[in-house]
Amino acid sequence: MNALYVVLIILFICSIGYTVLLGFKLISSKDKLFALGTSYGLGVGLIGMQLFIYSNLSIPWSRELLLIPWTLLTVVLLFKIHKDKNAFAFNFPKLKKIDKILLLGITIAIAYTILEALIRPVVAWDAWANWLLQAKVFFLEGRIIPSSLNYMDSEYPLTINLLGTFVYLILGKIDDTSVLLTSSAFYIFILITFFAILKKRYGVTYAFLFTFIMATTQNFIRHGGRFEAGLADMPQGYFALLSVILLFSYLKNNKKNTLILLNINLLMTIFIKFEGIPLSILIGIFALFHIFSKKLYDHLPLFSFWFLPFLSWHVFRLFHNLDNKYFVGHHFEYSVYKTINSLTGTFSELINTRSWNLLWIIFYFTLLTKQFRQNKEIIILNTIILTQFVIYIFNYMFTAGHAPDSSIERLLMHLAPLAMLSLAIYYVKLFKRFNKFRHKIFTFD
Amino acid sequence: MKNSISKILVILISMWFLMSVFNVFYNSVKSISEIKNWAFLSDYQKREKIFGDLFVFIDLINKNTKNKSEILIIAKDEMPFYLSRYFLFPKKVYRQDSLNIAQIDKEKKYQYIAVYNQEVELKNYRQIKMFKSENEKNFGILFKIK
Repeated sequence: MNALYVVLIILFICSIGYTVLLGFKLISSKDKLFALGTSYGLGVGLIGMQLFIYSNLSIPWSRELLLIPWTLLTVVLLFKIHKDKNAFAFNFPKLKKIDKILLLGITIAIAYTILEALIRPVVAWDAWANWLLQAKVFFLEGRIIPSSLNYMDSEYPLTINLLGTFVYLILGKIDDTSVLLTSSAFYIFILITFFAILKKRYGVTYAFLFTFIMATTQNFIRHGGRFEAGLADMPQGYFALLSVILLFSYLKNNKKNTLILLNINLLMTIFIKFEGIPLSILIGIFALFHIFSKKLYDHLPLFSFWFLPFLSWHVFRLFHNLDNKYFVGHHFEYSVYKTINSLTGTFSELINTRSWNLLWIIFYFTLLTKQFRQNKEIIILNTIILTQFVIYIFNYMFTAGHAPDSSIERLLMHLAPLAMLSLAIYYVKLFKRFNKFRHKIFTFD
Repeated sequence: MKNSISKILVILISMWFLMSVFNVFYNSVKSISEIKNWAFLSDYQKREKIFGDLFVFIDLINKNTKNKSEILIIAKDEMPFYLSRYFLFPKKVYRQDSLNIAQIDKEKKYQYIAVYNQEVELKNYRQIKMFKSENEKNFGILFKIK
């Protein structure tokens, strides 16, 4: 029964995100599917912000006070957008046989992931040692007590913890099995986002093909519902993917609204884990470079959507004198053993086909080809992926307490959706050529 | 050269596609055994299956300590501390970085001390519960301040 409530909570979170996206015209109603993919992330950010603000203003976290403002806002925005016939009319394309087969494969993968999420309580170490511990503590204490953050050695931003807290608050109890559905939701919404962007650019079948490949990659399934459910690494990848897609849109349309949404997602990328900081800055630099090259200087203040909340979180930490153990605990340390271990550990994960199928093998293989240097979007994507990748390796090499053995599989999850997108863009040309070739064979027959 | 690279890439993505198809079948079959192995267990049994004897010991601590008490965990590795911190909240759980047992005993700072897979002697605490796994591999002792 709790699982059903959690599904409803997830739908509620999406509906908040969806109506805000369309109501404030952050996404055009023509891009409904992409709006749907983005809605969960925005909703998660908004409810996190709500809980954080309520806690600081000593407003009780009661169900009514949490749900009523969003319900009112949703109704007002629905009223605003109800005239737009595009907003809720989902036109399902006519599917070919191959599309139906691929869709069936994706559906089976999703069903399996949800089953895995619901069949056992939280398993992953970091999930119970950090993310869900804080959700439990916040729920039982009814607010964010700074001394409790020190007790939990918590330094990460609170987005994922507050999502768990929100679920517990609406459920009225702690259920560390059903709450894992929030991870499955990240898995599903990554797939929707990925499908939406590929469908818009390259058509339904191509989108289904790559979404199928992504959905069935075991590590996505693990983070969506199996043993790694409850962690923050898939959300990190989700927000990185959204940010890059929005960056690409902004580079094309120069619209302020797109830049606002990009900045919100850059903020979310930072507000998941520390690893999101370089990711977010890198993507932001590309946007800044575009602003300066196109002389769109009036767009610069929009970066406050990213910068100010990030600053306020640090002011909160400073104000409450919260410990900074993470960076102190991971001080500079270097040894030949660490270097070798960093490189071999990372390399062995890249060729781990049980977790990634051929994702990283093909990705690194494509770097050897010319097209890697010819397509602007692939250049941006790969620059982000490779820079972040180098940061992870340097982190292993030069800081204490970090080794690839226990974490590289999770860290690669931040970059995996981006690598999938890079490959999907890369393969378009190749497939077109392949189609011509196939056509020749067909006519020959 | 260009063509051969393209061919390799098409072969690789085809292999990936086949692996994906295999994964769909593998997961479908696996879901049957997953249901068989997990679905009919109680919540307690599932946690015992995941965390082993340590969960049983933490449950014993939970049942034999007062609400909001402060408990020191002494163990060789980190897992007992982190796991009990999760399961026992709102009871506060601490760990001692430097294992000077005599000093801890003397200070009498904690209401309870839970020791996992380690032998300790405490003068100011009395043993209230003991746990031993069926195969006698793991054991734990719960002490209360005198």
